[in-house]
Amino acid sequence: MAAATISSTTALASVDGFKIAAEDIDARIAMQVFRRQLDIYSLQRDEVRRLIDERLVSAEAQKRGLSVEALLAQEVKSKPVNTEEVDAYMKARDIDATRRPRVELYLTERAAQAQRLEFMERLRSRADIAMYLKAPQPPRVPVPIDGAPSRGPVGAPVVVAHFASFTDRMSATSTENLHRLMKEFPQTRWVHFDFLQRGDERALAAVVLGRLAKERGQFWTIHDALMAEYGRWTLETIERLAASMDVSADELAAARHDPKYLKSIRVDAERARRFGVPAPPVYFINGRFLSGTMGYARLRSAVQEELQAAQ
Amino acid sequence: MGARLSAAREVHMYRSFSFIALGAAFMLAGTIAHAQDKDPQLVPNRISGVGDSITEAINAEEFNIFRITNPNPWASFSNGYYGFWEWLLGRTNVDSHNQRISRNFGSRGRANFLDGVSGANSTDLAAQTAASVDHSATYVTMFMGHNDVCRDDFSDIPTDEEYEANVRAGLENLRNGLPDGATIYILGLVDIYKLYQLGEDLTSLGFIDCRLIWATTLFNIYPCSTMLSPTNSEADRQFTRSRNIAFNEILERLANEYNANDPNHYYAYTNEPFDYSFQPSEVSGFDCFHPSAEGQRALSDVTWDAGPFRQFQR
Repeated sequence: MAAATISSTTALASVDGFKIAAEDIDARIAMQVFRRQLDIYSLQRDEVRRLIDERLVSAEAQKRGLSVEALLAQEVKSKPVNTEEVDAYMKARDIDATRRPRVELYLTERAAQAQRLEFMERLRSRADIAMYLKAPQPPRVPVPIDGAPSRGPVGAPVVVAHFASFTDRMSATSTENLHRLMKEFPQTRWVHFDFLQRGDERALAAVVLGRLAKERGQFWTIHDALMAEYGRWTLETIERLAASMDVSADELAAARHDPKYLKSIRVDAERARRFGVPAPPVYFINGRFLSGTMGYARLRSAVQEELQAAQ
Repeated sequence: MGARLSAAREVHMYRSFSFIALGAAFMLAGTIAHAQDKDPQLVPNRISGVGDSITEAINAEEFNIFRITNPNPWASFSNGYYGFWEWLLGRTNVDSHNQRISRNFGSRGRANFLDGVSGANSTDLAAQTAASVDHSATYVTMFMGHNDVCRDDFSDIPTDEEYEANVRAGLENLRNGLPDGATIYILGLVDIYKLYQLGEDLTSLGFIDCRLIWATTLFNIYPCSTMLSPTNSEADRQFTRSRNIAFNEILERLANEYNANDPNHYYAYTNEPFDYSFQPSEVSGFDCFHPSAEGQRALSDVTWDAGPFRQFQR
């Protein structure tokens, strides 16, 4: 059953005569809607696959003049336990003799499963199967970048918004990927957003330092230093970096409790949640979501697509 | 059963306020009208959640980067709650069994014990159900076996006989120790093969590189090699799934057996967690495997609606 479509200008509500249209809310909930679309697609695809297999088996059974059960019994035959195979498996893994029944079960069951899979693969390879169902495409999310630390040419055709944490290993890796990307594609702009997790005091200290650094035009120096020292930097490192910007230890300590910085950090957290960022790192490449856990090749490919589209 | 027993895992719930409707309309002198020839069924006001990382809602919504497994107890399908901090931080309200109990049976004499522990398997059932008995639980959710199926090696997966013996040991504690009229709700294991498939979807769609995370199973950093290891063949994964199914059949048979033979307690079984098709948004965005908070909410929905108190729908 297809979902009802609403045009972007369809009024969804009005307040004192002022109409709220679909396009007014679409951007705000785009990622959440996309996840639901993904759920529907996933359900439909799995059911289609199941029906395809069912149909193939049924057709083969009919062709052979057998019931489905008889066909499967014919194709998937239980074989007796191969003692030598069990011995070899146990010896290779140094498994205690008391676990022999488990190994016997595993090897015989696995063999039966392999037969069943091979049978289904044979049926699929002989059939003419076409899937018309298409996965929904991730939306473009208009991540507001004004005021966020950025580097790269203004007006660049590709803007990569990077949600990352200074204490997260994968964020350090995604940062390396972005450095590599900037070298390969100098026409890219990189915008940083902090992603904090509950109880991460070190990251909070780093984020506050980043805010102080931004005020002094030194954000990227601090950012690159911390990311490069991932796993090694400590609160002493924070103090040292602060001192390098002529920020005293007292000033730094006060900043960590300053509502001005805490509120801005909360804004970033709200933004991340609204855009469906489950955990760091995440890229939005011209608004298109890509997990920062993906390797450089995926990131590169996404940027190339955007560059081509921009030409 | 007025005073709450001190327990390491009693989950707070009394800081919640108007989010939970306090209704006492169904408190029929602490029991529920029941036609069966058993002791009167007690109101499930003292809940004990027995199980593993799913019951603990590991990695469901919040992740501490210093740990691989992060309990998110507010998001447990069984023992979850929604109070001040959950509201402040915008956490998901999973509408757990615990919350539904408060809504339907009131807050008098309530206690909420999360006895499940991440990494627990069926050999831990006896200890966990002993804790349920210590808590004088009137309602026990039992969701145990995922770590029997999810092991480092296939030879670590117990045989049917071993699994059954472990579950019986757990059930015997409940039969011998729970208050008369208590209810034990046994849940069939989630289809972990479907969770593996979802992880593949999440990877291909660019949500998260699940294969990268699962590759740590090779170093025993991340559990469930028997399903997630990149060295597994499809036949290996199907074998693991066959154990998943076999253990559910054992759970269902035991639930029926104990319900028929124990005049003092009520036993129910549901295969809903296995039958339910978790969707991408219902899988943890941190580990590509455990249910997310959305997944926990779905689990709460389907298991309550199939459960022994399903007629209570406030």
